[in-house]
Amino acid sequence: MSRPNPYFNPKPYIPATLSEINDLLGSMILYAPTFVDPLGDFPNRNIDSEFHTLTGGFEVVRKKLGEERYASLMDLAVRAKALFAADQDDTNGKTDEGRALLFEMEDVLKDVRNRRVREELPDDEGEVSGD
Amino acid sequence: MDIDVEEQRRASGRWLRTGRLPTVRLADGTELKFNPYHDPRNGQFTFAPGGAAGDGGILVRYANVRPRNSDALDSAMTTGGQTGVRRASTYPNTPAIGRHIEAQLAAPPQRPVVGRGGNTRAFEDPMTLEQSFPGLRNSPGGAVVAVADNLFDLTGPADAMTAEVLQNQTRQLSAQIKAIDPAWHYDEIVPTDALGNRIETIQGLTAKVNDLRFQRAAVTARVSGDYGSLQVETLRFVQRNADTAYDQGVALLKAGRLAPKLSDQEALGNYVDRQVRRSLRERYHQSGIDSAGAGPVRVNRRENNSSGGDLTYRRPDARVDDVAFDVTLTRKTLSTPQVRGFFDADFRPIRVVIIRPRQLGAGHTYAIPRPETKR
Repeated sequence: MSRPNPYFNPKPYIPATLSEINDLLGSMILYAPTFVDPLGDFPNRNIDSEFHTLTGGFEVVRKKLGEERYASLMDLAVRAKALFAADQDDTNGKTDEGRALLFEMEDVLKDVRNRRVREELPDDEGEVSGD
Repeated sequence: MDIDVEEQRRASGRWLRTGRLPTVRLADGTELKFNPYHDPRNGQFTFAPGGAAGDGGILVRYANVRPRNSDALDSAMTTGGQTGVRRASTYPNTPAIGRHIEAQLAAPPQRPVVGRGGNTRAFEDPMTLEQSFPGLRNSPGGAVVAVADNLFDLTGPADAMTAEVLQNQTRQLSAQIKAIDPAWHYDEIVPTDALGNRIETIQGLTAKVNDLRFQRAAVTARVSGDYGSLQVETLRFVQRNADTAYDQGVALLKAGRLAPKLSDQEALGNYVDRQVRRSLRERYHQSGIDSAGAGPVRVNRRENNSSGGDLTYRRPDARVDDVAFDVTLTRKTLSTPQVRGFFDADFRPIRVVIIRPRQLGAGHTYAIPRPETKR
């Protein structure tokens, strides 16, 4: 068996800040319901990998979110994934329902970030940015 | 010596790598020796400076490339914070600097003639931003220098490429990366048919070439600390993602499926930005590059400016060593505070690259060299 490629990181990317999760949501909103990368740069990207990345990100920032918001976001993610899974051809309207849940997630994150700014809580670079 | 600058660059690159000069052929197979003194109509040698092309043979691929010893670009001007370049021989009667810049950006670059097969493609691959933005090296600070359109067609228009050409490229790229570090190898799972033959589509091979180019750049950066090719690959990656996200965003907006709280234009730009940053982070992550750390490769991180009394900062969408990248739908120049803020950051970028979707037309993407004067 050959040695692993020292230049390839096999671990999946997981967003580590609120703004990174917000960027991920923007990407997901564009490419719902299949989330397939049209450029082929990420051939393994699909609905499962996307929601794994999203919920993994929620887990990373769980403390910043607080338990109530964390639970709410995880619930929204489960429901959105089910809707997208039920409309992989984007024909029955459930993709739009799922996308609406992604918008809700955006709003929750925005609330959290606004609160962090109001309370002057620093990000990982020591700056009050909402992250 | 009057030589097509692109030809000269390609020949020089090959000579550096192999010690040999390339053999050039016409479409009908007629061999042209690498001698500038020939008749381009039939390939026959002439004595310098003889031949039909002897008295006017300067061929410039791009409108904003300055041939050696040419006075075509004869001065730089700065007006109202904007800097442009005056092209006396091409635009003699256009005094407004904005028109100069527009004209420069709008100049349609000619695509180089690309042969199929062979291994000459590697020598045409831009490995630095100077090669990606023809004329950048000699442009004055603050000028707007358009990207070479063919930078994004290295794998060629899909319908013009053959599997053989792409496979040649993958072999060549793999060999180049192995030469940098023999421990590198490419892991892939290729689907096979019932007989065990590999099923490789043009699209799949194109993605593989793009992947290998990025890997070559990442390995080079990690082994030698040279970020030049990673800057180029970042540009190419971001451009492709911005183009695709733009199309997708427009389609969703037109269908009324995005319900933006901002204007359509702002919302579209916002989605394009977010998609690009997300994918770029993932791409760097795959290559073992931490784009959230203190290293020279960063995505949407704070870049401090400690030169004034108060610490301020800007967040370029990406930074690779001494270059800042900004993804946007609107044109930004040195007169844009955000761009000036990038230049003022402590990492002292030597240029800012503005990347806009190609759907926005000629001059979509350009580089702005660092202004010479302290701001």
